[in-house]
Amino acid sequence: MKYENVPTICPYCGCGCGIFLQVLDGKLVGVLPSKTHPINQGTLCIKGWNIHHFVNSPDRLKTPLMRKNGNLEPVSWEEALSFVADKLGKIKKESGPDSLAVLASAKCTNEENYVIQKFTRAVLGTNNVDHCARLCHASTVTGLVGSFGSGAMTNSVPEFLDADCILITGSNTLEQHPLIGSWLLDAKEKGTKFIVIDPREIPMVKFADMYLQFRPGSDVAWINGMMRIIIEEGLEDKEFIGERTEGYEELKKVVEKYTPDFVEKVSGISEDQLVQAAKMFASAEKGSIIYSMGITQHTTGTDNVQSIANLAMLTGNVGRRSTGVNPLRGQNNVQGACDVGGLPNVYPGYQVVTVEDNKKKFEEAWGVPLDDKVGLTIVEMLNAAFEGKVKGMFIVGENPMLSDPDINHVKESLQILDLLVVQDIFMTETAELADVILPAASYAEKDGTFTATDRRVQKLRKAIEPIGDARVDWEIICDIAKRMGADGFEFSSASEIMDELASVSPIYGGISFDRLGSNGGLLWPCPDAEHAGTEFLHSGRFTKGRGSFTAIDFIEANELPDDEYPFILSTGRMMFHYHTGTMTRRTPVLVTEVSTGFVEIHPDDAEKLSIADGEMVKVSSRRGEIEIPAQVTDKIRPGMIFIPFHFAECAANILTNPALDPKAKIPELKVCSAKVEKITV
Amino acid sequence: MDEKLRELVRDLLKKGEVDAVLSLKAFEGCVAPHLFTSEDEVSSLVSSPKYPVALIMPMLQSEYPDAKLGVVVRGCDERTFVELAKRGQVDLDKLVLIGLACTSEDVEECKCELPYPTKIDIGEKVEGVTNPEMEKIGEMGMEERLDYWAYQFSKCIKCYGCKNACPLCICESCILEEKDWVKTGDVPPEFPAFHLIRAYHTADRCVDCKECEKACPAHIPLTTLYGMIRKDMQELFGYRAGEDVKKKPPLVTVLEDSALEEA
Repeated sequence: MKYENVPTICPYCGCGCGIFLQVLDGKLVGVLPSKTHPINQGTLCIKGWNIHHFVNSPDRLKTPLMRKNGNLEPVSWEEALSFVADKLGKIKKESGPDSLAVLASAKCTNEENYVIQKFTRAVLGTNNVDHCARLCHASTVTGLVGSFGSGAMTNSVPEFLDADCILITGSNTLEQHPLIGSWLLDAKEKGTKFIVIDPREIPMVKFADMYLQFRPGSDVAWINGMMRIIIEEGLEDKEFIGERTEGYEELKKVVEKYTPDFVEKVSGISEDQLVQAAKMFASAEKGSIIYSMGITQHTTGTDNVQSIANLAMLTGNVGRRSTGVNPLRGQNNVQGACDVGGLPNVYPGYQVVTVEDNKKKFEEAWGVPLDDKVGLTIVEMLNAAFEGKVKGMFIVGENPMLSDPDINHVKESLQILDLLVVQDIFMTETAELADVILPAASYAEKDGTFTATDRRVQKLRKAIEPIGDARVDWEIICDIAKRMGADGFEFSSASEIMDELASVSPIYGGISFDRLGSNGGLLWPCPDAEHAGTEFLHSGRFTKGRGSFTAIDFIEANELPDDEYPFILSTGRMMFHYHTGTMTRRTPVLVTEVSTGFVEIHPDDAEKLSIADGEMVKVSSRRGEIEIPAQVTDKIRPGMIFIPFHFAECAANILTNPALDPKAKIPELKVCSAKVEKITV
Repeated sequence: MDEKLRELVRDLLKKGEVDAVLSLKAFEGCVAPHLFTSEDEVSSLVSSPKYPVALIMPMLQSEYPDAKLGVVVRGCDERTFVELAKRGQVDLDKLVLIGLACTSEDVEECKCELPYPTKIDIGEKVEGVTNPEMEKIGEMGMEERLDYWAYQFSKCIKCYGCKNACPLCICESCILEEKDWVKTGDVPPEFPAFHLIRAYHTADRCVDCKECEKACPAHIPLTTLYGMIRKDMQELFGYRAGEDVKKKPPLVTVLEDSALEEA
């Protein structure tokens, strides 16, 4: 007789909600929200309440599979792992370490990502390791590191409650980060003013004091416009600018030409609204900015992020409680996967690979020579595979066949590889192309830590045994590393891996499983065992010393509407589904709510094309075409369409543009040109 | 208070009067429902914060049909067990209810009218209070009331937390998920259909345990609405959910003769 509640962390978005998995005689039977948890306080969103369903799905991968004569057949772990180890070794020997590439996973734990990047760097010998942060907040990391010296959310979630004004742009907070949305609703009732600036009339707009709808891709223009107004009105924080920042004069010069009139022409935001919003934000004592992928997923993503940073510094809203620049991270552990080095340019703790001292430090720690070249990012890996330069890829818990731009190209690239290994919990669209599939344990079947969007490192706890023959991700990787003759992978627990991570990564220096508890964890930086963690960054001093203003001019998106493709297509997410749908589409309640994708189109455009609500239409771009039901709604701007990217049968990413931000290498998922046509039978 | 509760639970386990006790366990900084099967683990037993233990019990009784189980109940938990028993969800004969009176702080937090069980084993009886919100809304005109609720429900993110946390939401298939009644996929869900359907479905069973409201990420004052309906049930039918296990719930009663007379 055994009924217990195992405290762990919800594995969907980056809110980091505390949940209990209800375990009855070893079986996972349900979930309860933790009432004492500082973020969700006894509440959850619909996805969190149903987080147990997919764990027991009959579709779980239960045994390793290998392609034999074109078919995927069940094999033993021994056969699968010795094949993978041999083949990786062979490709490395014949074509060099850089012919291999690895995708780490924002769904996996910090410990697993640490092991994955260590395996890539120390065993495969390349820095070709990246993960889906590239597709969501790569520009946040490059942008904020440049402006502030640290690429993470500056403040913590509970601080939103006491902000005087919150500017939300490119974040559909109530749907995508529902429990942060909950804090915002509370703030609203306490008197916080909200400015929502978004091309779509998202649910948060109902609670906004001001709503500014703008043309996707014109972010730099309206932000520069706001800053010009603030300076003209004398509302800038002169003391903060003088004492804490650099580069202000250049900024001032650049924003000069962004007159409200010019901004209105470029962005569609009226002169009057822009002036009012600028004054509202600048006069707040504690002004906070929330943004997400509406800002980052552009070829000008880094520019957009640094413009946001400019606005925050101009108004003196960094380094204090309830202020700051707050990028909301989309995955449960995308913050952590970055923190622990799942990126091609940094070792754990954002220690740059091209700095000789860092390389030495890790060579000493890991006992092997390391490469000092920056590795390939996701889209670059796929391009290199297409060109035959990357020959083997190891993909852990990611599904580029649905999440990456221009899926047709992704497919061709993956098919050319000599070796594709996919480690996952379900047969994803990507796994279907693999030579070897390794069944992994789900979040409920392992220990580890996740780092939530506000740098909150929290403990994940094993509630049940892995399903079938599935194994924990870090154990699989360590097994392969050992088979390839490597030392340094003899871990016996996740806790031991965290200890090694803490020893090489100062921001995690004081974090250990013993300290974390199960009620909110610790916020990094936490440099030593006595340190209580850090609620907000840049207090008194920016991580890099002085904060840097960046003078940025507005640049149009890579692809603009024309006669052939007259619509701007934006992609994104929704409340009821999550990323590539592998988990949510196996959850009955969520499928009941929304069973397939749709394209949002404005009534005026629908009328011109004689399209009715619910009608199947053809949407095409220069990359491909899909058939998808139309959702006619006035919550979107005329001339713009929106498609959620969760659904393989009408995959938005068949259409999207793989053009990259030159600095962050993030693709422009928020703007491409597209055509909508009636399907004639 | 918790120490006294622990002693009592230890004693029940020691004497073999129960096989296990469902209550709350404090560990690693958090508190969660837990089934205590041995005296040794009782040292971690605590009484707050309140969790919906009655939500868990039907599952335990169906897994362990022969077990004699103890459960620590507050007033609202006890009333929930009464309603569950009426609907065949728990077997009261196999349950030992350990009554816990709520503290004045609890009463203040929950605005509870009846903050103690019929038999108090632990704690001192504190008198209940009426929910001041109910009075405020009662004084509003119809238009104002509609606006008030329209605003409250506009915050809803359709998490179904109210349903999931409710120990008395026991239907196998839920009408709120049927698209003929409520359009699927909308945030917020249709007003007023979603919320009024739920309110009427719980009208003759809601015992005011507040779990729905505590589970609401939008902090919608659900128990104020349900409280007003409970008041109607009492005034119209003389029915108070959770009061008497023998009293049939009016919404599931088949009338042989004439309609129920108004009380």
